Amino acid sequence: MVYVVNWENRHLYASELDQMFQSRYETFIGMRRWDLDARDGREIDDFDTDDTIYLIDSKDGIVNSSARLISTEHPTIINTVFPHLCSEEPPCSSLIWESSRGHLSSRATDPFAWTRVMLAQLEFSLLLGVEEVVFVVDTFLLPKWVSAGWNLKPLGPPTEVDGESYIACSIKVSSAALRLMRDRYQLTRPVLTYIADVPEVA
Amino acid sequence: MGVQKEKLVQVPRIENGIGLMAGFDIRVIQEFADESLRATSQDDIVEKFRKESRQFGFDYFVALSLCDLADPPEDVVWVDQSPKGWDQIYIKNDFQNVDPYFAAAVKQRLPFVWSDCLDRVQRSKGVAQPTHDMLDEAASFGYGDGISIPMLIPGTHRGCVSLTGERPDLSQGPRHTIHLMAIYLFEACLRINKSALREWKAKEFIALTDREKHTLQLLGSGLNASDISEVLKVSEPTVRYYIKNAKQKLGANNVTHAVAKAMLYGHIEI
Repeated sequence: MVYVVNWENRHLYASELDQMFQSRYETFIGMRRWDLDARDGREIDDFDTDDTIYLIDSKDGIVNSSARLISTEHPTIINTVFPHLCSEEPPCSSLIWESSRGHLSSRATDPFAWTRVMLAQLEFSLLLGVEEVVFVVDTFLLPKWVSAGWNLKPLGPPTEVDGESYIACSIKVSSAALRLMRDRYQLTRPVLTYIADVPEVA
Repeated sequence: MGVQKEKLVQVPRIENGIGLMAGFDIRVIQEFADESLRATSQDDIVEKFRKESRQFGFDYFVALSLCDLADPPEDVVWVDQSPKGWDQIYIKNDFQNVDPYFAAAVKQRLPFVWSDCLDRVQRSKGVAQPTHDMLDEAASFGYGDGISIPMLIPGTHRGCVSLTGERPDLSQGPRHTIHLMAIYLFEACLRINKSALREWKAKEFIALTDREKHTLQLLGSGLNASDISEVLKVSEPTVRYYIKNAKQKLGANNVTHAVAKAMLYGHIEI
């Protein structure tokens, strides 16, 4: 299952969040060699705030995959670090959210976990009335994303950053897109789970 | 992605003019993307791409799956807008084996300009005579400099869209425009081809007899087995035999399913 973790229920997921930050460190700093902030072997940056939503795929307490979502009303990677990746004004709306740090953990026990996290992003967006999800992707992966059936549009030209080419993109959220993706990945049931912290009645 | 640490900074205002790049209009590209994602005809989207690329001096292009061009498998993209006769000369002379751009497209992940590619080959191992011969022959067909855009899509053959012309504009804006449009062109061709192939295979390999088709046609019109036996002037068990065979061939669960599938594959029209 993919768990929605926000500021209200994050104390229920202390272990999962810690594993996620470690896994982000291994993936983005260790393997991809991105120059990011790190604290004690964990990749945590200024966009990990109380406004951030994490979608974490975990089973038996082991985190397989995750992504974070931030409303572009708040500071995001695209609107603060890489606004130049957009040909027009970078998105800034409660209806447009940014997805970042999406990855499959190198310790994942289930290779389909990332697929579930992708679907979870669509489910979450539909539930919240989010109309678009924006993100930055390696340019060479664009044909794969376009052919996967996402209604995906570039927001600007491919741009070189530190020797690699990246591009900002947007996906239109719709129930049709969710159906298409569920059919494609043969996942017919919702993957998203939200466990609220219900206070005990005295 | 790491030159600049991801520090929280003030959202910068995009002043007028910032983000403008000659030959690159994101809205035109997004419109092309919209059209191609909805496209059901390969010819239409190829024609649209041809018009867009012509603006930048690209007279010719191909969108191909990188496979043995002399004997391509059936589930491939094959759009050939090269000058008349060039494809035959290319295949007849086995130019695929000496074509430096084909070799680069098999290895590279990102678009490359042909003259840059040739420079790299020249610097590393030199350009062999057969390659020179191929390039001379290509020039006689109106091939100048060009660009190739590799397509890496899991589960399909590696692909490539290549464009050329006598004097194409290979500055940054047109390069990015063509790069992004080519990705959508390739997606549309791949999707439309797969769908056409599925339909063709369905028709080709499900060989219904004329009697079976006629029976399904009549069932679709609302007749039952008894009515059909009168129309076809055969016994009712014979009609049931036709229905059973048709259901089996179509892999249908029931009569309605068989009629629907026969319609879908174009065996009958109701």
